[in-house]
Amino acid sequence: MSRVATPPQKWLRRVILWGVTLIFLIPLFAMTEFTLRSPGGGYSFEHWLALGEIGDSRQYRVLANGLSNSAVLSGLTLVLVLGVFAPTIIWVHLRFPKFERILDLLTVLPIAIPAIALVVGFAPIYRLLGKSLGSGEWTLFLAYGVLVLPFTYRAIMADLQGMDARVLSEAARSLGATWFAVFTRVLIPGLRRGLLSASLLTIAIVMGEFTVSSLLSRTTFQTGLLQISQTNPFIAVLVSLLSLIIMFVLLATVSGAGSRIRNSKVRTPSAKEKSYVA
Amino acid sequence: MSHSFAVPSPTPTPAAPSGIALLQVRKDYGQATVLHSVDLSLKPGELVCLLGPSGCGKTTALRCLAGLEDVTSGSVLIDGQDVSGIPVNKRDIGMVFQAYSLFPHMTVQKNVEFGLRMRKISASVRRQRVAESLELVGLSGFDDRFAAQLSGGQQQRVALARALVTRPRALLLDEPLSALDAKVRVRLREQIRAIVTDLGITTVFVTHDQEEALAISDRVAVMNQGRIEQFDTPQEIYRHPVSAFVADFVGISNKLPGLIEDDQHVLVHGQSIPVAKMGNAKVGQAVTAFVRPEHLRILRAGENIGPALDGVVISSGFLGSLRRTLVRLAAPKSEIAVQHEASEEFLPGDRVVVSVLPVPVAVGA
Repeated sequence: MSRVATPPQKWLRRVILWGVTLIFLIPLFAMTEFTLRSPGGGYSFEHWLALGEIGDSRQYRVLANGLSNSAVLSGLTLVLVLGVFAPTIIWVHLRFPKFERILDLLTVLPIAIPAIALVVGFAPIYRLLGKSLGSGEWTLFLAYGVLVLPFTYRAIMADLQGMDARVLSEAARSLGATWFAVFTRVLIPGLRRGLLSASLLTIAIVMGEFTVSSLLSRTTFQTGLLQISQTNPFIAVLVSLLSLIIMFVLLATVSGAGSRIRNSKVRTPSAKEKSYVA
Repeated sequence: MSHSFAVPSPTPTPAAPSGIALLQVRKDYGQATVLHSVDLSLKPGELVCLLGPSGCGKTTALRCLAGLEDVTSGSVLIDGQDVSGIPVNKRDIGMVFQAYSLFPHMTVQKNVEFGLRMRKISASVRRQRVAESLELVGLSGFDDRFAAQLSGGQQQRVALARALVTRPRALLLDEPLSALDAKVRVRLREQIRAIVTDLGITTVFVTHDQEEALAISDRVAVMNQGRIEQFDTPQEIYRHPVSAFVADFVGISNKLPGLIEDDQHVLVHGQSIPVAKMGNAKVGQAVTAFVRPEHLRILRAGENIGPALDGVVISSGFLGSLRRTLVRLAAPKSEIAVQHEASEEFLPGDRVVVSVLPVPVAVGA
């Protein structure tokens, strides 16, 4: 006989909530405390003030280069995700649903295969690419496209299934819309939350990626941080802390925007409105 | 603001008279044939229901008409024009789907005017036509709502307004009421009937609900396994089903054993009953006769004159002006339903006799 699950007690919910909050906050506090330590003892804002020199100082050049490379890579990977992956995922969902299972399986591979093993495959491809495209850091966006695929695919697919995209596109087509109009006026606006989530995940993964860039000898934000940490661990931890906070804020913004979109569309009908209900 | 389902006046300009047809339409999915050379022709302004069980091909036929599916062979005609090779967005049709299909990020106003925008109609004309269409479905003043702020019935009415606002050549409805509760279904189907009759728009309505089909259609096409079994008025479909499937699917039928007497009659327990359509049955062949409950006569044992079946009453249900009594027959051993006047009351255990009235019946193997 099946048992009906009862929700946990209020006190237990609070304990779990506080436990999870502490797990997130304690490392952040520890990082903050570390960045405030002064080499001569005591606490000061010395390292925080040094942050302004990152752009100019020779000492921090590798970090500045890594940051700008990762920013460019984020942009290029986003273009790949939004310009190629998203339309492909939508198109397969609408027109070739029988291939969805294959696509689903393919997109799991970058998670199933360890990054270090992926690099073994990437290396000869990048040797070939190097002959035609050069060995600039920006070429990493192709590898990053593969790495972000599992996450972006699921973010977009969840929205696609939730909005019943097939019916909506057929409704739009029956009203005279071309496929371009179906994409731009019906599907993309309907998928904005999924696309936003996919974009955020893409940025987070690219900014945090270390293995591929390190093994392919490219300078990115994470490899720059590693190098700096060997000479100035305070700045390395400080920049890591800031990047974490920025990602949390972005995540909260996206989550809040999603809730506002949902709440703006759901309202209890008034008694007068209910009288209209057919 | 009027909330009744009467069509308000003034109404949008009625669509030009149109007719639509499927000519020898066949649809295959790989090895499976879903439509077998279907022929269906609708007169201008007619409302036809495609009725049948799940998987009979009714939605596929509608989708072929709409252009959402390509036909394997055959032709689709709208206003006499062969549109078989024309994509759905150029067929000038209006369509309402089973699932709520309003664009969730758009208001009611934007949803309804979507088709007009696609046709590059000016903003002032759009506003006027949207207002007319919303008034037509009784939703004036709902322009700024989103789909999530509407009930299921309201959403389908907006979908109907959206389909009609472009003044399409044909209106196609794919089980538009199946997600709604019973009361809303009845009210909305009456509204749909009133609107399409007033606009004179040729309409195809897909449903698996026989009551819905019989209530609103000019004609009903009963489909089974990718074929149209019978295409006729609701009265003819009910009274004179031409096949065992139609007799069994539409309304209630009692299955009684019979013997083909000649090319027009079947012998059911000694009574010669006319046959609606003989089909492949041959003289002397044993068949099943499908007899409606109202085409049977029930009397207390001993009251009968002529051939009849003996039985015992199992139960009797009150249906307002009528009663339906369930009788267990002595031979053949089976149960049959008999419909009769409510004033004639039978109690469980009563011994009765049942005779068949000479009304044309369907026969099957």
